[in-house]
Amino acid sequence: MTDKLEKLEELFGSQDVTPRKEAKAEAFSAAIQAFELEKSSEYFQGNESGVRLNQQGGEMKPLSKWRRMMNALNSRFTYGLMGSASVAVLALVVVGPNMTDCCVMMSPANQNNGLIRLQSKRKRLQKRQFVRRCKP
Amino acid sequence: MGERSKKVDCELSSDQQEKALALLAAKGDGDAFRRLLEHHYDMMFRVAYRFCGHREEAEDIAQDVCVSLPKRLKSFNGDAAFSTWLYRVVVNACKDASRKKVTRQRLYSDYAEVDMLRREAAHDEHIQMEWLRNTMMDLPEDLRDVAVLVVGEGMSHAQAADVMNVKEGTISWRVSELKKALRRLAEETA
Repeated sequence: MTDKLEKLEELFGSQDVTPRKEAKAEAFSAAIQAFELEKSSEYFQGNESGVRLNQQGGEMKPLSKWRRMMNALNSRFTYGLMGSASVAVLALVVVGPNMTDCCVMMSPANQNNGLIRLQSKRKRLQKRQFVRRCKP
Repeated sequence: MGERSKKVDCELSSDQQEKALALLAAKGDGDAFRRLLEHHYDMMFRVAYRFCGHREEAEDIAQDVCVSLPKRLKSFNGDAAFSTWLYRVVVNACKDASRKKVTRQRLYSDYAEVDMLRREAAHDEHIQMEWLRNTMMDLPEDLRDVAVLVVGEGMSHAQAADVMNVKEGTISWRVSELKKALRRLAEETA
């Protein structure tokens, strides 16, 4: 059983695994071409890595205004929003307001009642004014 | 930039040096990229050749890996040694190539001409090497990986486990399976 493994090892050892020079050169030139292409595609994208490459080359090409603004705002905005939301939730938990009043006030039935009350108040006022006018 | 990659040479050990070179290459340092290729091309070819058994095919695989390297380098984060990462890339490329080859062989299996050419080539080659190639081709894919890395490249089970992203115990189990498979193949040929 181990004989075969040893044979395999031996044959692997005796195998000529030196690459051909032409194949190597061809692979190198193709790889370098791909590398340059990759580099230039990043340059034209104008993303963060693009800027890094430009800095390496000694020339600075700034990002577009929109991109710069997003870079500056993105994290601040997200963290700000998350922070204020969590503070609000914490405040609600601490204060523990009675939300049922809000719900009652906001309900359509309550809104109708308010309207009716307003109308009756107006009627009462009109009646009182009429009585005052009629008084000698 | 080239100066920066030369500075890397003086300051760091070879493992760290390669990591630093890979990170520089990922950032667009052409000199670092060239040096990585020079260091590792032979290994890429050797693994591919041992995996597929054909010189031309191995050259194609090595070239494909070289060409895809600029893009792939971006996914290298320096967690593992660069050579371990590269072994993984090459082994995966070999597996892909072997799957494509199976599909191609199915497509062209009707052509008697291809078979004739293959037989002629086999006749010219050394019998031992032919045995090696046939044995490797008859092995299941996961055992072939283990054969190339552990037997061919002389890696320890732990190193091979790192490359293949599996546990060390799995590699040990696969080595014992490899031994069984070799015995079975020997019995079949006898």
